[in-house]
Amino acid sequence: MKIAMPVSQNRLSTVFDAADELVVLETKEGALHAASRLSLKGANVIAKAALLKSSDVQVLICGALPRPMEYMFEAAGIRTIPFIRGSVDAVFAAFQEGRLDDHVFAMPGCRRRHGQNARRTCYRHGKK
Amino acid sequence: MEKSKGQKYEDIILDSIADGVFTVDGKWRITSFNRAAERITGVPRSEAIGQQCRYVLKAEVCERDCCLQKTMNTGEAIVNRVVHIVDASGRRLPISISTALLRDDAGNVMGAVETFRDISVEEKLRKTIEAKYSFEDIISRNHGMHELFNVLPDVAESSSTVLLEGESGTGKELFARAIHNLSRRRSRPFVVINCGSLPDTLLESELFGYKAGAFTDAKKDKPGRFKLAEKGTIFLDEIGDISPALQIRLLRVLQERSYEPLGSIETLTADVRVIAATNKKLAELVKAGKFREDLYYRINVVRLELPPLRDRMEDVPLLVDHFIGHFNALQNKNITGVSESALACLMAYDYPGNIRELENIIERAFIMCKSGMIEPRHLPEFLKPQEEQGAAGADESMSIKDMEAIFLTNALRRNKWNRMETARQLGIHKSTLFRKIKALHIQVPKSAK
Repeated sequence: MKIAMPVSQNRLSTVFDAADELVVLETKEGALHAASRLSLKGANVIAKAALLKSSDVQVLICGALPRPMEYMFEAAGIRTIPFIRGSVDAVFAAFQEGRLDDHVFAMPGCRRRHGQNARRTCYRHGKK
Repeated sequence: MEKSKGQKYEDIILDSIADGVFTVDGKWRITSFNRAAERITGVPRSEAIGQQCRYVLKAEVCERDCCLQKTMNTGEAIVNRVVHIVDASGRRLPISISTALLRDDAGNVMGAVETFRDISVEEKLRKTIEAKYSFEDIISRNHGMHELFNVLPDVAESSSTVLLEGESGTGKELFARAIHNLSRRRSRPFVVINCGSLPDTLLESELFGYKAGAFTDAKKDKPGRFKLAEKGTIFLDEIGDISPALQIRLLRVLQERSYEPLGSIETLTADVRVIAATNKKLAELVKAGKFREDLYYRINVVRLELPPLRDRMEDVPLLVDHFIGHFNALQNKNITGVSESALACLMAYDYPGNIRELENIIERAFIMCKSGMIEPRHLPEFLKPQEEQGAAGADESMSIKDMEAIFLTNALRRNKWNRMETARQLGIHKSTLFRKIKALHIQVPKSAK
């Protein structure tokens, strides 16, 4: 599995849009197998989505992610886990151990389910 | 520590203003956060206090160009800088921020204060007026639409002629604007002309312009749309409706990049990127002899087909959301959303008029709904299912379960009873769909997949 995290100085970038670099971690049989970095400099959001797709990234763990981008990644078959904060190592370890729901990794006010079919709360449609 | 009377009074004042206000200490931790800041960011005060401000505000400038940091380092206040934040529900909001230092009585720096205002209404209105749309304004979670998004940057970069095909109201002009705004010509004009709305003679003079005296009413020179679009983009809507004579003139412009205004002997060059659109199938018009084959191949360099709304029903809730925000901004209203039963009605309709029709339905609902949520009674009669319209006698209400059954049945029919395809289109897991089919007693043909 390939997991991507947009970073700024080895911490997850606060906002996906502002990230210049992507760390891609590849796991095999649950253990870290390879790590690489991809540049996002100058790329618009469509190019970023294309880069993730062409790199066979299956999971994107990131900071704040605007909805249109979440939809774009979703449509490209990439599972997104947004509004996460922390160092790359700590976040990766938590993801591997299924602890990413822990409040220390959640941005304030943004705790949510991170399942495959998790949907953002629909503030306009009369339901929470 | 118990707050003094003075501090409580300050809190009351800060909580009553419309702008977000927060303060930070020397380590960027939030020390106060007013009610408007909670509302705009979507982060409750209790979760914001003590946190690093960048995790609460989530602005694109936080990491590299932080306004508070600039103020703390230089002592200079920042006034009305526009940045974008991402709120707790993922909405990208433009805000206008101002910062200032906080000093104690001895003049030592204690931290800083930031005030910010949500300017998304202004931005929505500006976009409506200036029509400066980007692909982010094309709202979709549909896989097919995102395949189109993927090719947009390359299409935009190439300057090739583009043909957009799609039913009326599918957003062809929006797409054309997005292509223009992604291209190198984005700072140049984007000129629109609807070829189907003008008679031939008028269309010719509109496209190519005329010299004074070219015809009776031509009192002075008038530049055509190609001239107005020079170095920019021209959008030729309803290209399938132009006459054979005009097709020849257009072919020459595309081949030789030159033309003459009516009544002129001077040849003008056309450094214009052409995007054409039609709700007809141009290839079929060529076969029927109604459209020139050579012109078709000049236009059909890059062909993008926009799907009808009924093929992307998962986008209806997003579009409804968008239109509610749009009309709230235009009409200064505060409609909070659509009820579940109204959404069920909207999801059960086929939209022959596509997105434009959905927009009109919401606009009509805004007339009928003064405040609060849009309910089924605010929607047009034709949205209510035929079976129930006929049966509506003493009891005109329908349960949510009935509406859900009708909606799912229509979705299954549209996908030829393919349950996997239906689940994918609706954005739900197949097991959820199977469970609902069973619970709602929907009769699926034995031959269904």
